[in-house]
Amino acid sequence: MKNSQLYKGSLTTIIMKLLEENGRMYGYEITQKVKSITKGELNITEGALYPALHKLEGEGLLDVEVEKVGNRLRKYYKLTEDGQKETVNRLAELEEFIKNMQTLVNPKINPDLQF
Amino acid sequence: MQVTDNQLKFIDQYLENSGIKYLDIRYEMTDHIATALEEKEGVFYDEFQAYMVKNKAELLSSAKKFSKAATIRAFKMLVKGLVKPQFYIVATILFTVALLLNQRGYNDAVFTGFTILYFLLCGVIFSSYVHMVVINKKPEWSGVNRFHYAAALTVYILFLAVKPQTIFTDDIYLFLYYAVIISFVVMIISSYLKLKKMYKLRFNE
Repeated sequence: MKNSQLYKGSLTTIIMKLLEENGRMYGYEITQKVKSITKGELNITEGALYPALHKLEGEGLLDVEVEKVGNRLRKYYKLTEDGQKETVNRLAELEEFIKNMQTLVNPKINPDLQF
Repeated sequence: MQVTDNQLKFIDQYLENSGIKYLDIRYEMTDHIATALEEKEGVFYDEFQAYMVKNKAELLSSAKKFSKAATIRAFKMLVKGLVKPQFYIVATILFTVALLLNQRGYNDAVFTGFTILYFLLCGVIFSSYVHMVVINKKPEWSGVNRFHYAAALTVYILFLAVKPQTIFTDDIYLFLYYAVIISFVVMIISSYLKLKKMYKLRFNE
C-alpha cells in the first residue's frame, strides 16, 4: 500500500466504509474499488487486505457469504449490525483525525489555533 | 482470458505446495488470483508466473497472518464457551447427580464414573487431533483446525498439570471440579461440531 505508515491505521475504516456503501464485496473487488476511487494512487495489497478483513470478521464486525461464481467459490464480506454501528464511530473518528491533522499541518486554515 | 477448471486446480495446487494448507484460505486466494488473471489478455501460465513473482510474498504473509488470527479466535471461542448457559446447565446436572448419589452411599461409583467420563472425553479430543495431524493429514478448514488444536492443547495441559485428587481432599470439591471440567470438555466438543458444520455449510461440502 502506498505510504503504508500513513494509511495503515485507516485500512479497516476504508474497508468498512466501502462495505457500507456497496452492501457486500469480495477481496479483489475491494482492491479494485480503492484503486479506482483514488485514481490509482492507493493500491491495497493482498498482504494488507486479507488480514484486515479476517480481523474484522473475527471481531464480529463482518459477516461472510460464500457463493459459487462461474467455476469457483467466492467469499463475500458484508457488515454485521455491530459492524454498521462501528462504521459510524470509526468514520467520525477518522474525520476528527483528518481535521486535527489539517489543523496541525496547515494551522492558517484555523485562526483559533494561531499564536 | 477465462480461467478454466484445470487452471484453477493448478493455482490451488501451487498454493498448497507453497505451504497454504487450509482449504478456506486457498479458496479465497485462488479466486483472488483467478479474478486478477482474468483481467489480463496474455497466456495463462505467463500471466500467472508474472503475478506470482510480484505478489507471492504478500500472499504467503497474508496466509500466515490468517493462521495466527484463526488460532487467537479459536482460543477466544474456548473462553467464550465458559459463559454459555449450556456449560452451567451440564455442570449443575452433573454436580447434583453426584451429590444425590453420594448421599445414598455411592461415593466410589460417582468417583469412578467421573474419572471414566473425564478420561473418555479428553481422550476423544486428544486422539482425534493426533489422528487428524499424524494419520489422516487431510486439509481442514482453518477455523476448525485451529479450534481443534486449541482444544487438544488446553485439554492436554489440564490433564497433565492438574491432579485434582492431590488438590481437593473433600469429595464435594472433587465432584465439583469434575463436573466443571467435564462440562467444559463437553462444551468444547459441541462447539467443535458446530464449527465444522458451519464451515461445511458455508463452502457447500
